[in-house]
Amino acid sequence: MVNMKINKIIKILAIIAMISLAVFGYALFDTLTYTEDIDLTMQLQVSDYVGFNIDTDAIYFGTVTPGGSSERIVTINNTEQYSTRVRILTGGDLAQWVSASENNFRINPLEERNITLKVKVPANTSYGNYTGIVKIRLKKIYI
Amino acid sequence: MDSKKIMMVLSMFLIIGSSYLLFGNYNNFTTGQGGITGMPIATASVEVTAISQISMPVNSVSFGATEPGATKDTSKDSPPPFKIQNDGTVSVNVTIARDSSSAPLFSGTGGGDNTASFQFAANETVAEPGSFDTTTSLMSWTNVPGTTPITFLKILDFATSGDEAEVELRISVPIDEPAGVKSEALMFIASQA
Repeated sequence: MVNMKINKIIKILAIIAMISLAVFGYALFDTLTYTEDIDLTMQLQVSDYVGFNIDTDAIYFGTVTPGGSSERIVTINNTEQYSTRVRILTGGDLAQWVSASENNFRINPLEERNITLKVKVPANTSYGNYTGIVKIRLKKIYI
Repeated sequence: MDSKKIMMVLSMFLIIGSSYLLFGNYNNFTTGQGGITGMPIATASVEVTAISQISMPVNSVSFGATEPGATKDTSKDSPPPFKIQNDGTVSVNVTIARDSSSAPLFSGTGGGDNTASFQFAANETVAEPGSFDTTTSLMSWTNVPGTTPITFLKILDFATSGDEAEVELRISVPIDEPAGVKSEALMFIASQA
């Protein structure tokens, strides 16, 4: 009688263990490969005057003349208790013109880092509006 | 140890392990950064600062051929001065400096940074007067500084009807300035007023 109860408990535990194993595997995989992407829109106008737009809801490079350049600073603040690797990727019209002051770096727990994004407009650029995306990719570091 | 005990120990380990991975990091959650996926979120916050920096190409204001000892300026719009416009939604203060990637305009006697050979002044545009604070801005001829910026334009408004200013330039060519094309890149930095 006692043995039957023990066997039943073990069977239940075994089922729970199988479910836990699946959850454990998924959670471990998710943790080890965890990344977070933060996308910011970039905007630039090329014209015959200088224009500033220091609004903070996107990266506005303002208005520059062909051959000119513009910079904005982005502050990255690690709010977690673990280190994170930061990669900065760009896309869109401005991808080839934009560079970051540093890239692919480690940011320690609770550390704050200022990154300067600079757009250099080629001298032969036509007047008009140009847009792009800067993707800040954050990956948890375990070591 | 028999197989039943091994099974029990293994089961308990898996249950505790998966529970920890799933729930162990919940204290790190920060709201407002996206949806909860079961793993830690808000690894970092990102903020765009309210400062913008723009470099002017050297050939935007061209004084053409000039004799040594001559003085020219943009006050009569020939050549036209720089025009600065506030495209944003907050008032800005603007600084001027020589771009560190560029050499001073003149190298002759009396040339170099922060000399009367190269000066600037803030000015109102004809179309949009009253766009900035003319009492605290630098409205008279002032030497263009070196790479250390000085604020010359105060409280440039953002309303479309009045959001622009001119930057007049004046050059005085040193008497012994070597011949050749002379240029200097200027850097303007705007920050929230």
